[in-house]
Amino acid sequence: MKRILFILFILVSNQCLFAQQIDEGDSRAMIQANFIYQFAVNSNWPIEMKKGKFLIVVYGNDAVFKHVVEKYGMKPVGAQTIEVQSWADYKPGVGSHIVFVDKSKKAELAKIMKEVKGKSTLVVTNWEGALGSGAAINFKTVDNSIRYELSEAALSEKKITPGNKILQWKVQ
Amino acid sequence: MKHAFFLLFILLGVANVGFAQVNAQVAKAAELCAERKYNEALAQIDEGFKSNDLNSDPNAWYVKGFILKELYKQKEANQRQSNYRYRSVAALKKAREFDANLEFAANIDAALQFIAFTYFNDALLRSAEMDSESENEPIDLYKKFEELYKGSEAELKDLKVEFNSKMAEGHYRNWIKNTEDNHHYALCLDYYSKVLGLDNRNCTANLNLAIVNYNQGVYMIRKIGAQTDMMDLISIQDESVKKFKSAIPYAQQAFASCTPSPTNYKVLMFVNRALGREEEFLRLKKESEKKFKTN
Repeated sequence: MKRILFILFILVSNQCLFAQQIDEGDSRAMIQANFIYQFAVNSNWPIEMKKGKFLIVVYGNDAVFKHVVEKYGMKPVGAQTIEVQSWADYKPGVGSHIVFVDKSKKAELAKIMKEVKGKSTLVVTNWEGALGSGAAINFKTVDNSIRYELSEAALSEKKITPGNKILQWKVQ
Repeated sequence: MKHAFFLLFILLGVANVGFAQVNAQVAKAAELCAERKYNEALAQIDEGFKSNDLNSDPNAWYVKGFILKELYKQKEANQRQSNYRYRSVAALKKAREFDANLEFAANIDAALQFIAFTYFNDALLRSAEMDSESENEPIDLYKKFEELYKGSEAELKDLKVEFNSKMAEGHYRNWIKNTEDNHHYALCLDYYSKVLGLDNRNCTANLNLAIVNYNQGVYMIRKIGAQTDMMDLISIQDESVKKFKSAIPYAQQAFASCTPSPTNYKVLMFVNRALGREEEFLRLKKESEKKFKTN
C-alpha cells in the first residue's frame, strides 16, 4: 500500500524548483526612452530644425535605442516624423535634434560637445556631473526613480525652448 | 494466489476475529475482491447490508469501503467528483466508527490514507488548470485530503508547502494572461506568503515572490507609451519602484539560502538594475558570468 501511495504521489508532485519567468526587459531603458520622447514633444526647436525628419541619436545604449524605436519611432513630433539612429561610434557632421549619450561613452562627451557647438542639438546624458560638461539634460536617480536635471543656460544657448512640463518636473 | 489469500485475510480481519465471526456474505464479498471481481463484490456486500444487520459491523463497512476504493481506482480515477471515492470514504469512516477494538484500524487508515493522497493529487492537478471560475476547486479537494490525512506533522507541512506553491503558480499563470487584473496577482503573493509562513527559507517561494513583484513593476512600466503624460510617467515609475523594493528582500533571501544558480543571480541582478543600483548589477553580472561560464 505504501508503495502505491508513493508512486501516486511522485506522479503528481514535483518538488523541484519552479521559477516563474522573469521579465528581462530593462525598465530603466524604457523610462529613459519615454523621457527622451517627452523632451522631443514638449520642447520647441528653432524654425530651421522643423524640416525633414526629427532625428534622435542614441549613442552607446542599445536598450534605450530599442525602446525609442519600438514605442516612439512611428510617432510624430509636430509635423516631423521621428527617425532614430543607434551609434556605436560617434558620426560627426550629422545634424540631429537630440543626442542621448550613455555613460559608457562618457569619455567622448567633450568631443561631442565640440561637434554640436552652435547647433540646436539637445544633448541628454545619464551620469553625475554631465551638466557641468555641457549636457543640457541629465538623468539622475532620486530615491531609486529616474528623474532629470537640466541646464536652462545650455538649452538657451542651443535655442531650444523647454515646455512647461519639462521645467515642472526637473530636479535640482 | 498468495496475494489473493493474503488480501482475503486482511479484508476479513481473520488474524484478529477468526473466521467464525465473519458474516457469510461479507466473506463472499471478500473472496470476490481477492479475485478482483469488484462489481460482483459490491453487489454481494450491498445484499449483505440489506438482508443482515451489518450496520454496526466494522468488517462489513471496511470490506465495502475497500471494494468502492478499488472501483474508484479501476473506473473513476480521473474523475475528481468520483462517487465511488466519496462512498468509499463514507464506508471507511463507518468502519472506523464501529471498530471499537481497533481490529481494522491499521487497514482502514491505510485505505483512507490512500484516498487522502488521491485528493491531494487531484488538488495539485486542478491548481494547474484552474481559472477564476474554478479557483476554489483545488482548495475543496485539498480540504478533503487534510480531513483524511493521518500521517506525520512534518510530512503534512511539506505537503502544505507543495499545495500552496502550486496554488501560487496557478494564480500566477492566470495573472499573466491579464496583468491588469490584480485578483490573481494578489492571490499569487498570498499563497507564496503562506509557503514562507511554513518555511521562511523556501527557495521557490522567495525566488518567485521576487520575480512576481519585479515583473509587476516592469509590467507597469511597459504600459508607458506615447500617450503617457509626464505626470503619469513619474507616478507610474514611483509605483513600480515600490514593487521593485518589495522584490529585493525576497531576491536577497533566495540568493543567500538557495543553491547558486543563473536564475538566482539574474533575479537579484535585474531587481538591482531596476532600482538604479547599477554597480551592484554589474558586480553580480560579472560574478555570474565567471561562476557559470560555459566551456
